[in-house]
Amino acid sequence: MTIPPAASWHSDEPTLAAFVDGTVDQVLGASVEAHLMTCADCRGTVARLASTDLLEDVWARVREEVERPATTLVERALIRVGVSEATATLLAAVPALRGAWVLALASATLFAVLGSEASQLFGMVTFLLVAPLAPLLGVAVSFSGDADPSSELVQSTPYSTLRLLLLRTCGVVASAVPVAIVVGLALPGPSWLSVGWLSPAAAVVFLTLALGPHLGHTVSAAVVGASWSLAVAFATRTDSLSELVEPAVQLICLALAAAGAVSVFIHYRPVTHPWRSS
Amino acid sequence: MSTATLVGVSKKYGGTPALDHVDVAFSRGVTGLLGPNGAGKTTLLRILVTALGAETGEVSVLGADPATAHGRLSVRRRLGYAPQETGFPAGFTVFGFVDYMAILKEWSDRATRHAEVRRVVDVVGLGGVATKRLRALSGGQRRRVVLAQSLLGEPDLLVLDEPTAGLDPEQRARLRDTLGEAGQRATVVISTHQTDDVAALCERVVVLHTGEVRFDGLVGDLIGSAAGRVWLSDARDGSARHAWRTGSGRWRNVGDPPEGAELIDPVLEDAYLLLVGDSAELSEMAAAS
Amino acid sequence: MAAGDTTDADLVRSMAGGDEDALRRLYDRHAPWLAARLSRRCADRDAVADALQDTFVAAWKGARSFRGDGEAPAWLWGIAMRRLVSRVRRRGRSVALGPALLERDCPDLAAEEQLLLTVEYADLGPALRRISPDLRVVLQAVALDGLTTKEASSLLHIPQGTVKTRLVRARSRLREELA
Repeated sequence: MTIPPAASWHSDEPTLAAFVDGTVDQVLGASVEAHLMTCADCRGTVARLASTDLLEDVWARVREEVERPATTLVERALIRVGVSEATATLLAAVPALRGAWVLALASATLFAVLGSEASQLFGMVTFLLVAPLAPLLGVAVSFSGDADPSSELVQSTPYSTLRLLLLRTCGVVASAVPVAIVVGLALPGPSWLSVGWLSPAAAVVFLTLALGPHLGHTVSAAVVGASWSLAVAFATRTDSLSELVEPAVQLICLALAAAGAVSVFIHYRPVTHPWRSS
Repeated sequence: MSTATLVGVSKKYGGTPALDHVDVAFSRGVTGLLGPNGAGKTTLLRILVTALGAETGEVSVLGADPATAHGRLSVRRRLGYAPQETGFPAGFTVFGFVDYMAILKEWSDRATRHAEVRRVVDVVGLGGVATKRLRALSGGQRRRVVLAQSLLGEPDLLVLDEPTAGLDPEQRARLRDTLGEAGQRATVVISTHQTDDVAALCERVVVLHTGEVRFDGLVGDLIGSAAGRVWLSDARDGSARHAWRTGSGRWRNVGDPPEGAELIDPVLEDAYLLLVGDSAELSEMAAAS
Repeated sequence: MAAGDTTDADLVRSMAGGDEDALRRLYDRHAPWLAARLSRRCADRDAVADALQDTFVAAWKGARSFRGDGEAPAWLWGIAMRRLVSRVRRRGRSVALGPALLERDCPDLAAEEQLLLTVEYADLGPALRRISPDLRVVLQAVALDGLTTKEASSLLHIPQGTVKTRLVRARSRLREELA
């Protein structure tokens, strides 16, 4: 029998129908498959004959998977720890200041490390100054009006603004911790440096949040930040820097942090927006 | 029964009143809030969406009192809001941003939330670009993203500030369809300075001018108030309050027509001009005396 | 070019630029035959659906790396087959094989069917029908579908050694039939 040119020969509909429902002969099926690789018309016929249920169902799943934003490493870690998936997404969506000020923190602590080459004292002082204040700066900027460009929209949602504020704070502070600990460990000097700054940082952040609704976040941050700076300066002057991180002081800082947190919960009032001309 | 009422509401900024003893009620269907920029429309909308509080007067939205935290929460649960200008936090895709807003609207179950996000993204016609980053989109597309998130959960009160800005005619038509449908079930309030949007879409209209309500009623009635006050002529008629040359070359005049003028049926724009023009004249006269 | 003439390569290019509509159109064109072809190898409907889903998600993500010189169907089938093997592997021994891979004898063919066989495979087609089913199935998996011995072993639930020996025997039998 003569073999017609492949381009003009098409498998007939009954064969394709058998192919679609799986009843076609094995070797014939292989032939159909080879033919389909090169023939768009027959592929179209198969599309017409195929049942739509499976195909629509799979398409919905493809679409879902393609559209949803990829879960970041941070989100996955949080979900592993037990944070709800929705909260993890919110945490990850904190306005992308973190990049900017983690960079600022890193360069400041680098400065401390370099400075400590010259003088161990200098390194310590700088580190103790910067490490608690950097998260504070992050929080203050996070909550100034311009930081979240979609703030008007966000405010019209039922999600507790307080909760969002605290989530953002956690996100901001949590990003600081690994960097600061690593740098603290790298600094020559007493080993307490790498963790001694944590409770002052907590105190500083929560005091700022507590005073924020009363003084405005920026002013409150400035006041608290200045107080800490004075404490560090004083301790340097009187050569008692290590006392700053003694257990007694640590406990005081933790107590202040707790008081601040409680105050935030009890007394928090949502910030209303300043009028912008329409 | 009204969905939202404002009674005697005033709001001042510095010395200027943005809203001056406003009495207005919104109910099911589509209501247009019409007025020039600075008329107080955005302030009124902000009060409706619980972003601002009124200084004087009473406000009731969806049966709740937005002066209380509990009231605000219950309003926000049934509210959809598309502000005029909004920025977006960096790095979001279309889907990601609408998903973020859905989480803020308390959709905690991922599967149902994603299905709802896909639904609203499709309704505004952005299904094909759902994975694109917001910064890669045009201004009109970004506006549609804001619109999409306002439709999440089929809210009982849908408030849109200048929704047609930046949309091409096809998108406007589609928006009109969507809002018309929403108006069957919900209270839709559209703030705009485009009279043709109001004419095409709204059953009721509230005209706001310098913080005061100048008209509150049916669109048809407002148009009717300009009956007999619009005429055509071959050259600009000096006695007209407003006049402009139309595409056909003839002039359209609005105001008090002279004897024997060629009257034509008014459209909403004519009525609006007359209304606002009268007010302007009145307030000038009041100021002069 | 008329709208109806968009080539597969054009669609994949659009997909690389983030056009989801292009993905939908590619899906409408190719998912049906891919589903049928996969179902002939695996009778487990869920595994086939999962593999199909994985295929198009992978196509979306890998759209940029599609050269366009190869044909889209071949590219998609390559992805699909690997995804199927992966899904089957995950499910373990319980997965049922599809008709293409079952060791069955071949019944007689009608004239038109003989023609198709000859068009696509010339003398090979009829020869394939004459070798024993167990050998043919291995040949199908390795030579026609391009699986590695390891992948074929996973799919067919037979040890790799058996795959290799059957392949050797299949080839020699085929040579005999063609001679």
